[in-house]
Amino acid sequence: MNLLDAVAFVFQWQNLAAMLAGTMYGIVVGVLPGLGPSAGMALALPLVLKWHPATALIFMGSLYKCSNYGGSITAILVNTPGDASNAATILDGYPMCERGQGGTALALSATAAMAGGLIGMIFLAMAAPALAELALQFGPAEYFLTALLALSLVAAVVQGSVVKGLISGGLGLMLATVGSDVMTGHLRFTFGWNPIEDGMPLIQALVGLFAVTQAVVLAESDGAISRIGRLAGGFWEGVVTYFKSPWAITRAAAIGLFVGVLPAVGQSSAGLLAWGAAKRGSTHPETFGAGDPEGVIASETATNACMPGDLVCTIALGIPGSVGAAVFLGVMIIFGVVPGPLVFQEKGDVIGSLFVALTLTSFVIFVVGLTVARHLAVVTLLPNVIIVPAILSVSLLGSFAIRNLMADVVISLAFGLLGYVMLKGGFTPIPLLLGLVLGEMVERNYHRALMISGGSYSIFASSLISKALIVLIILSLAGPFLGPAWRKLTQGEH
Amino acid sequence: MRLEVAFELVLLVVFVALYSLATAYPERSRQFPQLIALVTIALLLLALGRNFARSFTTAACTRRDRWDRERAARVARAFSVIVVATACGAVGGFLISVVLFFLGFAFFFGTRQAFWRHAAIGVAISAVIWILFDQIMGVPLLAGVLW
Repeated sequence: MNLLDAVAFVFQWQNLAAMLAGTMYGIVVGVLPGLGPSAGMALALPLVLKWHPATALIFMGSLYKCSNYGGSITAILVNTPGDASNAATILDGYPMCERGQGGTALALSATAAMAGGLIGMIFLAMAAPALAELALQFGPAEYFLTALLALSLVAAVVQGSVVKGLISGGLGLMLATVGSDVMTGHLRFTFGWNPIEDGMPLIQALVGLFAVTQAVVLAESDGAISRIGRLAGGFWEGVVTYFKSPWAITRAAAIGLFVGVLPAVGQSSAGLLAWGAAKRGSTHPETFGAGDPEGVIASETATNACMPGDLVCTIALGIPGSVGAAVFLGVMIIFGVVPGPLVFQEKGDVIGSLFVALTLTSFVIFVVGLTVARHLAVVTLLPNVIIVPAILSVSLLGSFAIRNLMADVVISLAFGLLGYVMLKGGFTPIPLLLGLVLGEMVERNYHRALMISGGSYSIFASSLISKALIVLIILSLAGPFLGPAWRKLTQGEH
Repeated sequence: MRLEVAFELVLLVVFVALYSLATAYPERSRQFPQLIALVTIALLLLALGRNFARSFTTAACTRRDRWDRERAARVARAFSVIVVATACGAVGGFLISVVLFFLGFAFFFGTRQAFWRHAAIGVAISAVIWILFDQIMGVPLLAGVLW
């Protein structure tokens, strides 16, 4: 499928509707602090399972892209980032709101979502095939090591404790071995329970780990997600202000793209790094943190440029660059679009239409921001006593609808309980999810590599790529012990 | 015992049990899970060792325990509502389950004045879910064994 075919496909009414629905849904999900793109995709997944894969991925891609913008709305209005990626936006966005420039700050955010997203998408379209060419040289040993690298990076970066992250990843890999063995067909760890004979169901696990867990976390406290919601300031004033800072935009976009292609470093780091760089490079650094529009421009542009960078690694190499990308990786696999170098040949039509749709989404965000999105913050005023049962109802409905099995609801609840206990025990369920997603691929390539080498483990260090991957794995695991430089990069401390 | 340590101990038992279970499988089927289990067991022992080596002040423990008790009670109630509403859904259908979710949370976490308002919202959302998912999108809802 060439570019024109992809454009024509995306402009079919059902795909435009999917893109618009994904955009709106993503913004709503982003507005709800804590839900984020991961839970949003998990909630929406059962509803789109019967769709054409390209249409479903357009919906999910739009949702994933737009949830970040939704998160910036609450970050600016109520000092509550919708997702970790919006953490840097509150530094200047909320003070702007306090000074009566909430509308301007929201306009900066919407314009950054458009400009940063466009820059990122152009990079994605250019870089992804090149990365795929590189990945064509990968054999089973390299794929095995790449998956291990993704797991080690996520384990090391996501929560700050490598050991806990690796334990969580190990649990995910172990859960991925449940069911029929990928190589021999032998049933493992099913205890005679039919619903898990085909493996641990991924969607039900996603729903449990993110949606159910989040509902229980919200149930811990009274009140609503946020306290206030009032807009002030001019929207167009913000748009004009944004384009008056071309150097700040360029620098933030470059930081966002760079961080985006680093597996597992993530959007939260991009925003904070860009904010820090903007402050250091400013002639008036004392105004940063007190409502400087450049602070919002830097953080939001970097975060939005980072997301397509995340997708580069996810699509071309199968290495997710963030939590949302990890879930998107799972979504792609569910729809039969297996990320890797061959995806551009085998599923070129789906990938092409996804790229076009995500580019269009950048403009849709701006239009939505201009018209309705700033009024969506009212959702955060709903009391938890309404939000929690609503989340549970929709998520468990989705879990059941996949296979019409009550057992799937039980599985989701079990994963919800597991996710909650993990959170409270200081573990993050994100490496678990990645282990669950990548587990089958890891095991298959592990066995294939050993079959090729006649059982010799030396195959895992035989090629130059393998050696480089091993070095990266060691570095990723050793990184957290390297001190403040690593913490600054991964945790956003400044 | 802190939740973190308890969770690590439970995981340790689970991984040892899974390692043992896997010994009965054919060689190629057990190789990978046993490898994962061994590595994770080693990591769990490391984490447990670190936890036991770490010391806590009494004040910190007291503060943490009080914090945990308050939330634990709410979470226990929330899980009770979830389990009861889900079980009732298995018997009476998904829509009953949705209404019970709202009623349960309104009862335990809402105010007395707002109870009937929340109940009405629950019924309204059930109707919206039924129309949207069952009637328009054709998504199957749990019917329940009664019907």
